[in-house]
Order: sequence, then C-alpha cells, then structure tokens
Amino acid sequence: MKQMVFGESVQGASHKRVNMECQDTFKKLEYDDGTIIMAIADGHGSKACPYSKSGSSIAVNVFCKIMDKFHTSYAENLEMLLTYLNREGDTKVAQDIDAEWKRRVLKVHTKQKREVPLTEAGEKNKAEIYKQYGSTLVGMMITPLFIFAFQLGDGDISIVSRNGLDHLLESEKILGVETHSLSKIDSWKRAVSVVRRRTAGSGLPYMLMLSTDGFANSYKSTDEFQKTCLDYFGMIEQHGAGTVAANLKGWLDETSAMGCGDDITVLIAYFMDDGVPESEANANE
Amino acid sequence: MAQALKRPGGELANRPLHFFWVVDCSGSMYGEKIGTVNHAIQSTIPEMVDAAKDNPNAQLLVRTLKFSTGATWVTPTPVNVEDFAWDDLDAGGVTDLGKAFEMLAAQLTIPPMSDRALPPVIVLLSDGQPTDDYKSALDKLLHLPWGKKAVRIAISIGQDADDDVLQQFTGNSELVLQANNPQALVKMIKWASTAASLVSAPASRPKDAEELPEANDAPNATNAPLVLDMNNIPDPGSVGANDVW
Repeated sequence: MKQMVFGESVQGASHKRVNMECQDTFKKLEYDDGTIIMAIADGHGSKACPYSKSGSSIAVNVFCKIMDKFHTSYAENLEMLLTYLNREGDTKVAQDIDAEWKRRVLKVHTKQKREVPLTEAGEKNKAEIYKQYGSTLVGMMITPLFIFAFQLGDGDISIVSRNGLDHLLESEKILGVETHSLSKIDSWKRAVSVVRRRTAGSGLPYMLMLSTDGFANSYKSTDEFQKTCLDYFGMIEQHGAGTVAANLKGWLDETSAMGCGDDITVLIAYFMDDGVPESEANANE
Repeated sequence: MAQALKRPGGELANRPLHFFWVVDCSGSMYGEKIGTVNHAIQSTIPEMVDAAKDNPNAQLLVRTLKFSTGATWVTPTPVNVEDFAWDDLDAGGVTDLGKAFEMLAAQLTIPPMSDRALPPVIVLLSDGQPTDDYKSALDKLLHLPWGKKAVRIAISIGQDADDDVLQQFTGNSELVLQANNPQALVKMIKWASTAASLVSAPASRPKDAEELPEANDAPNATNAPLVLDMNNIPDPGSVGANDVW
C-alpha cells in the first residue's frame, strides 16, 4: 500500500481585504511503520481572540505531540492502544489535550510578555487569556491497525472511496459563527472521538480528509460540499495525488473568494494499492 | 511542473445574512415619528449597500415587517440590499407586536432559513405597549435556533415605549436604544443598520454555555450574540438637548 499526505492552509478572501493573517494551522507526521498523525486547527480570528493564530498552532502541535507519545509507547501493542483510545478518546485523551493546550498558551503569553488580564480579586484571569488564543482542533491518527479521529469545535472529517463518502465523526453543528473551542474552561467535555478498525491494504484506494469550516461553508449546500469531496477524490484518482497537491492552494484560494471568505485548510491522506503507480492517471490520459 | 487543473467541486456561494426592519406603525407613531423612521431608514440604504460591497462573501438580504392592527410583510421575500427600496409607512391602529413576532418566527425556521446563513439581524422599532398577547409568540421566537442566534436590537421611541418588553426581545438592556427625539432616532437607526457589516465579519467565537431566558424572565438576561461593539452605541443624552417625545 502506498500513501501520500498533503495539505494547504489559505488566507481567506475576507482576511486578505483587511490584511489579517490566516488563522488556520495544519501539521502532519509520518512514520516508517506507515502511521500518520495529522491535525488542523482554526483560530477564531475575532477581535476578542487576537492571538488565535498562535492558539491554532499550539493546538496542532499539542495533538501531534500527544499522539506521537502514544505511537512511541504502544508501537509494539497497537491493539492495546486501540482499546485505550476507544475508551478514553473523548475523556482522558481530550482532558490531556485540553490541559496541555492551556499550559502552553499560558507559557507563550508569559514569554511574549503580553498584557495579563486580572480578575476582580486581582489575580491572573486565565480564562480571559485562553480566550485570546481561541481555536478549534480536528485531528487523526492513522495506524496500520486503526484510525483514531478527534474533534473539538467545527470542521469536517471525511472519508471517500469508490463506494462514496462517509463522515468518520459528526461533531455538533452550531448555527451562525459560534463554535466549541479549546479556550473554554473544561473544553474537553465538548470533544468527540471515534476509533475505526482498519485493515491496511483493503478497500483501496481511499482518501481521508480534514477540513476547517471555511471549506464546507463556501458551498451552497451540504450536498454541494459532499460532491466536492468526491470530486477531489476523483481528481486524485485521475491525475495523481502530486498533481492535486500542486493545485490545491489555487483551488482553495478560489473557493474562499467565491464562497464564505473564511480561511480554509484541507489536509488529505490518500491510500492506494502498491501496484498502482501514483502517476496512474498519466497512463489514462 | 505539475499540470494546472480547473478547480473541481460543487457550487460555491457566499453566506446569506438576513436583515429585518420591524416597525411599529400603530396610531401613536402617526406624524413626526413615522416620518422620521421613513426618512432615516431610507437614508441608511446607500450606506448598507456600500458596506455590503465591502464584503462580497456575505449576501445581505433585507426585509421590512410592519405591525399595527395585525402585521404585514412590506417586503414579502428577502431582497438583495442593492435592490431594496424603502416604501414609506403610514401609521394607524393598535400595537399587535405578538403578531409581528409570530410572523418573524415563521421566517426564522429552517427552512425557509438556511443552516449555513450568518446570524440574522432584527431591528425592532416601537413607541408603545403591545395590545395583543406577545409573550407566547416571543417565547416561540426565542426558542427557535435562529431566533436565539439572531442579533436583536430594539429602538425605543419616546417616553411611552415599554422598555421591559423591548428588553425581553433583545435579551440585553444595552441593545435597547433610546430615541427620545428625531435626531436620536436617526442616529440609532443608523447605528443599528451597521450591525449587518459587523455580523458578516469573517470570525468565529467560542460558544458559551446554553442559557436561554424565558420571555417572561427578568429582562436583564443576556443571550444576544455579542458580535456588536456596544461601546460605540450613540449616547442618547448627547443627541438633542430636550426630549420631545
């Protein structure tokens, strides 16, 4: 089985107009045993969250770090890790992510010597500091044995194969411009996770896609968004993942400009049969 | 060099933003009050059009609902702000605010509202006390998903307006704007019209715990989305030296 992981974050059309940097971040790690850890985060970008770019960056780093530790600790016993993540994914793991994100936010805030808001009692107002870094987090760990998906806040996790599209995880959809956020106290309570057993090499080819809400919100309807996921998969099958990766930024720029104007991040892991060259499409053209 | 490919995917669209003017046209609004409302809203339209042009990623759709004896959509379907024209309203009759809430609620359900819309903005202008049973209709409105999320602003015209009722609608005392004279009314209408551009800004915010006040609750409950900068609400005391209404 071959795999390719690629993604892009683009500054939203609305953010370009006001010269505001992209608040999204993504990160991916690939290991020799085929394991992939990938995460995306969407910083809120509102006036109340001036450091949300930093918040989204911390979010993906925290997710990757915690998953990396699991990968190291359970390398010889993935079955045990599967059981653990299945049981603790939206509790203990979510608590660890929540706590580590907040610890790092406070550290960055102090290191950068940013203004410290105080409570009425004159103590450091941690809740107000977290708020300034508000971000969502969507992540995935793909091992040869299973897929672990985690979500806190908005965004989409899609799996596409020749059989069609499925969402690995359905997070609570909130109308308007609100989202669950790492910045809230006990944010882990809003996290959702799922573990799905995987037989490496079966059901190929398929694509796992993480996307921030700017992607889905740019389409006229849910049906149009789902059609898009299928089309991306079709493009990879037809032209190869490398070609799609090279075109992705331009497509996302156009999507934001003609859609909702928000920053967009798309991160894709594509899996195909060993026997099929990645440039299969070229032979078909 | 990779081959440049045309973007795949479904149909793209900006996000709709519904803006509602809800105007009290009861008999007590007759004369200068309704005249000022007509003039002031008319004069905000070009500014709303300009603000909408600054953000092509939101589609600003405007509608007017008037209420007196009963309630009527002056603009039956949502109209692009570029195509929106203000029809001068007349005043006469009683204050059936409940009927207006009922008609608003029908439009804020999904469908006809889309779940990918931006939070709607409702600006309610009134100078009096409801003459019908407004409470059950308001309760229904505030329990709709889009009713809860809507940015609800009220302009309290003159001394006889029932601010408690207006506060139950907005869920926030700061969003009941006082207009005791024509100059203040113009300023408040102008400020309220800018809410659309603030709502359409490309930013999200952390969701707070779910708390919804009952329509009958104490009117200091706050459940309106805080997407507005309430620091720049015009100070009614600074507009016109004397109260004339």
